[in-house]
Amino acid sequence: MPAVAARWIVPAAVTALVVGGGVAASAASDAVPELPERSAADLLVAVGEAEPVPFSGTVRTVADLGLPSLGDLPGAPSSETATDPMSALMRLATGENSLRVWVGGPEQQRVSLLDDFSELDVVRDGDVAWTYSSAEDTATRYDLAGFAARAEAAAAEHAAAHGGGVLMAPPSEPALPEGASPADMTPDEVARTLLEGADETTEVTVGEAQVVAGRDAYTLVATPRDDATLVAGIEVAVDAATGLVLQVQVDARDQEAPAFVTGFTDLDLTAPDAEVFAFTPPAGTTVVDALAELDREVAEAPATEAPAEPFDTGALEEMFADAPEPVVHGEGWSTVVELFAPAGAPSLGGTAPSLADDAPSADVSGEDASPFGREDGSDAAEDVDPAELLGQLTTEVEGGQVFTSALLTVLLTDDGRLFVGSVDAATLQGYAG
Amino acid sequence: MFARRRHLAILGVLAAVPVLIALAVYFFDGPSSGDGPPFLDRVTDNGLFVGITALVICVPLFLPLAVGVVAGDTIAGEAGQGTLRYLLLSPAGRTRLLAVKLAGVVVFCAVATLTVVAAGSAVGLALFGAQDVAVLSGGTITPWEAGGRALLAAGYVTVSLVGLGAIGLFVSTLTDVPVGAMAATVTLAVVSQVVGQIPQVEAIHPWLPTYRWFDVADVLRDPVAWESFRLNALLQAAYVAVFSALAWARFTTKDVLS
Repeated sequence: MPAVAARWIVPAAVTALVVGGGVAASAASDAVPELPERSAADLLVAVGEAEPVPFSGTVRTVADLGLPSLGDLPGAPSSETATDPMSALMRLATGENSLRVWVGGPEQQRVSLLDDFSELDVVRDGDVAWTYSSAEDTATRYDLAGFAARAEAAAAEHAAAHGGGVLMAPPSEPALPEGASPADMTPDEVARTLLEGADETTEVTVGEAQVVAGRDAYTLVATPRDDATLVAGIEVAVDAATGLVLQVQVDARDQEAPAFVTGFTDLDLTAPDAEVFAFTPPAGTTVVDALAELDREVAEAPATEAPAEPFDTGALEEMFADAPEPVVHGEGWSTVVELFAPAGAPSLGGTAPSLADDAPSADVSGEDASPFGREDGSDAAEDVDPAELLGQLTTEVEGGQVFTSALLTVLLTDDGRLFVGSVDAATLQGYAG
Repeated sequence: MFARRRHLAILGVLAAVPVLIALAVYFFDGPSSGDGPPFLDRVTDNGLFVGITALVICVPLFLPLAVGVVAGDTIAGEAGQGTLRYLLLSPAGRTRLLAVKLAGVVVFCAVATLTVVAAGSAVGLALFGAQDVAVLSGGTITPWEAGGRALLAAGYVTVSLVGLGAIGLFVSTLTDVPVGAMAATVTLAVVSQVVGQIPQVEAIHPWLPTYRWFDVADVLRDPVAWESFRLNALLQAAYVAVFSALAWARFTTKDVLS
């Protein structure tokens, strides 16, 4: 009965149309737009001279660094609930994330990290910035002018203590390199100098043009000339019309998928409403004043201890104060840095290292809503068992433990040295001897 | 369709979900923020959020179940009762019967979602009243706007369910056993969600009918993220197109014996 068979042609055709349409839509973003040819130096100039324009858009980041997702680690905070800026940043290093971005000008920005049923917002309007976590229902206020004043005061104090009473001059313009005249500092010249400087180690070319967020873009490709490095290349999509950077992609040597991509999925070059940047904490929200919090922590800190500084750089400095200078092996892309394990850091012979107590940078706790150093660090231990975390992240090799990711390898030797580089583990072991 | 006692019972169960939530929050302490189902902590500020919370709770199973039952029943139910051949005796034609059934399913999707939101809003307003409430981005909206967002959420979920309804309609043309069609439809909805959780098959995730079901929260951002609304509508439209065409091809060539 031919009529019967004919009827099934309809759904077949509809399916073909729908699937075809879907595939065509995704293929449209793979299309190669026709753009007038431009040199790499030309494009660098375009990026450098791009007028800052107000825009709003959506950014998608995809990280495939070969790291376990944070949620899979024992004791780690659930990756689905970003609650403070630091853990949100950690999150961007794993998996896929979606951000909405609004930029109104140099002092008006807003970024929202989207989760299924919650959101983390960072808003800046003039001298005041806010972070808001809907999951925690907490808003933190940052008085930027206040922080700047504190930083200046701290610098002056530092200078008074260490510089024999002579106040340091405020940082001036960065000194120009020897023999450089202002004429050499035109973007054009800078681009050329940059390219020449990079040429030894890196091949910078203009790749196939692409479409990003529906806009035609040039592709700048930086390829290391060095085979030892784990970085296979970096691709930057530059908007043909405005010189805006639309997408950055880092490829790793040993994997097909890019190690990290961040780029716009849609972009609107009109100025966002001023409303978008106005933030008032909703009623019932816990409001934290970051500056007051900092002052409180400084006041509460025992007098013998260095006052807590933003991001606890003091503690880090202290850790490395007695350590020998770092040794640099190799050069260019495959540079390996050798550090001696900071004083107090345990050897990894078997006992649990207490990273959480010593290194704020290892803090993956989502509980602490303050981005500042905690008073004693002891509360971190409740959230993350560092030994277990370290065990999950590293593999045992001869002479130490190795942490590998798509772009970076870290070797912790049993005698307490630390080798970091964008090379494979064997190379690090070679340097370790 | 609403004359069926079974369908009314389903709507009753759907309406009971927000009532249960509201009573639980009312008589026991409200949850601390971040705990429990999404938005539950906002319920006490604004009763309208009871409807939205209940909607989110119903999305993975209750609503697909309801839609599966109704959509699976469309053709197979008539066949199972032996009424299909009498329906086809009228000069209306099979294509038209199918179109009416599909329209009925779409209407049911809307009614089911609105039942949850309306029952939730009613009981929420009665127990908690309506104040200004925070949306996910930290902005504050008035009770009127909150009502608008609740309706928007209902609209989003309705659209989300339409694709499943079309699948159910097709499955229903395959069999004379209505329970089989219902079970198959509900199973498909669950399987689709399970597959959506498996990272190894990430490539096909965007093609799953359930892919954007939970993006309903995007209507509670400030400004509203319309992009997911649009993409969800496109996805569901694709499912409706393909599966109604399949249902049509199957139904118009089928030998109706019962």
